Amino acid sequence: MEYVLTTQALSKHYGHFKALDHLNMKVPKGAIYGFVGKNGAGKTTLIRLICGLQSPSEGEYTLYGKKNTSKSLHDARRRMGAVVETPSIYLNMTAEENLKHQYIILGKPSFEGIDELLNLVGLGHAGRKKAKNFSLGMRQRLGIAIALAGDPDFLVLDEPINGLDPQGIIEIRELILKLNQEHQITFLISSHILDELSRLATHYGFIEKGHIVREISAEELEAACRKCMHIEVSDIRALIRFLDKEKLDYKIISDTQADIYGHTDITDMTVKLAEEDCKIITINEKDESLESYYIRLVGGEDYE
Amino acid sequence: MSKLLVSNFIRIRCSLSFCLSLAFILVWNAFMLFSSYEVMTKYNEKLALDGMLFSFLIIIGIILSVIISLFIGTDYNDGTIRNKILVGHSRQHIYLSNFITCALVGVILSVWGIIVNLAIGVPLFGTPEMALNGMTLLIADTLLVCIAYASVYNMIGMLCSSKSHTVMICILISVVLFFASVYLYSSLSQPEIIDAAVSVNGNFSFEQMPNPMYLTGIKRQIYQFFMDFLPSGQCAQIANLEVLHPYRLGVYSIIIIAVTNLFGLFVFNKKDIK
Repeated sequence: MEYVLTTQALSKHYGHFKALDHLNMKVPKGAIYGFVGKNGAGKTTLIRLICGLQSPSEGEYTLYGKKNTSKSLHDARRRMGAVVETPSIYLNMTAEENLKHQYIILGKPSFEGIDELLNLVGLGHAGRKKAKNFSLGMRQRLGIAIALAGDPDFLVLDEPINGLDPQGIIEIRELILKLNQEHQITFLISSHILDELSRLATHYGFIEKGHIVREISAEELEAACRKCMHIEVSDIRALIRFLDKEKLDYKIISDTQADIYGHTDITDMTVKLAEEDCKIITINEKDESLESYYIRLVGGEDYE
Repeated sequence: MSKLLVSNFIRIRCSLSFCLSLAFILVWNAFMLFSSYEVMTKYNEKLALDGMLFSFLIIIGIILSVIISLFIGTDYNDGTIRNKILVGHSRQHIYLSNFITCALVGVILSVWGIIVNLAIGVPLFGTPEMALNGMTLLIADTLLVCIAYASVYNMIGMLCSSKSHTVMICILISVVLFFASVYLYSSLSQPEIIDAAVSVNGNFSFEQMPNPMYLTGIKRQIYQFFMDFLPSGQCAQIANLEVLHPYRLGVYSIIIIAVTNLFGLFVFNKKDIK
């Protein structure tokens, strides 16, 4: 498999604090790589490193096969665009001026394509409005337009839907999918909004305390996500006794509810619980979400 | 680097602080010239334009501190410095392109100041009387000291990630330098001999005696060195046409430009940008 970005034991220390600790990851070409982790896990630090804003303390990374120590990394970096934390735009300029400015920095011979770019991100109507008067969503879109100005093959988005309204989230999602499917742009997206990420990502990297705890494709994740049976009963003690006897994996949700993992014979369970005078109030099957998979992976106690 | 320079020039051309600075220098120079003209006509004295030709240098340090800190600080404040790094421009090119832009701002403001003084001053006072060589030397010193100021403020702006901190530090430095030059200038301008009032049997008379405030020896040399070395001291000397060591001033400016750029480049290359 061809990889756009790989990191080998990448570390970044701020004094004694290890923001990244021997992190290894691989972003396949053409993927939408969902980068998942809690606040302070090291997501933005990794993005800053690969964007060249900061230097690694240890380890290395390669971008399109060029090592970070190589002089040709600058050429590889021209193939990528990024929106790191807040959109990088001049607030006292209009959207059009911002893009013209980016074109100049890129050394493009003309301003051709600016209108198309503004239309692509849904800012066709706001080209002459000053960026300082933009909503957060509009700024985010302009940031993406600027990142797209260099016709990148690899786009890094740090929390791209933070602060967006529902309509804005849908538009950004559709834009990402469109760019990925029609323009073959590889994405690395960090996000806290796991539900939204699960609608986009083809690959996931779970980061915890500065290192990747698991890298998994969307297909593998789907297979790994355990199905469970959610049950509500009148006597939870009777249910626990039955589950322990049957050696089933379960999780108690409340005094009356539990999730049961693995296969169980519902008829048998109903009969056994009835013998103990325990009534089944509701029962339904449910899939484990990305969120619950993530919590199971990194531990839910300190999940923010 | 040419792409970065073009981008910077477009930004500075549209910068409100730059346009206001040009207007402020125009008003300052006009005020100084018309005030002097009023004095000249009132007391029927002959005043030469030479003494007013570089009057704007008194405030150039403060003006440059505002323009440059706002210009460089905006790149950090709006996060746009990231765009430059992301598209593959090296940090050296980013730093040097900003320095060249700031230096050009300094040169434009000083040339503008001289042109305004000549345009308004020649009809009022006539052409400058100083020799062409002397004037060329002073103009060279003026340009170099403005570039030295630009170099110092650019270094502060590039190494400080906060726009408000950059603006505050630059303005503070410019004010401190201004008052340092005022103190140095007044200390060095003390006359060696003063007239002192002496009372003998109730009769007052004036006697000439050594001024205790007059600086001598190593202390005077140190004060003179700082007056020559500090950009504000250089500006004060040029503005008052009291330049003792014109070549030395130029050399000191070149030293400031070289040291600040080398140090700034070294630290900026290692700086973590957010």
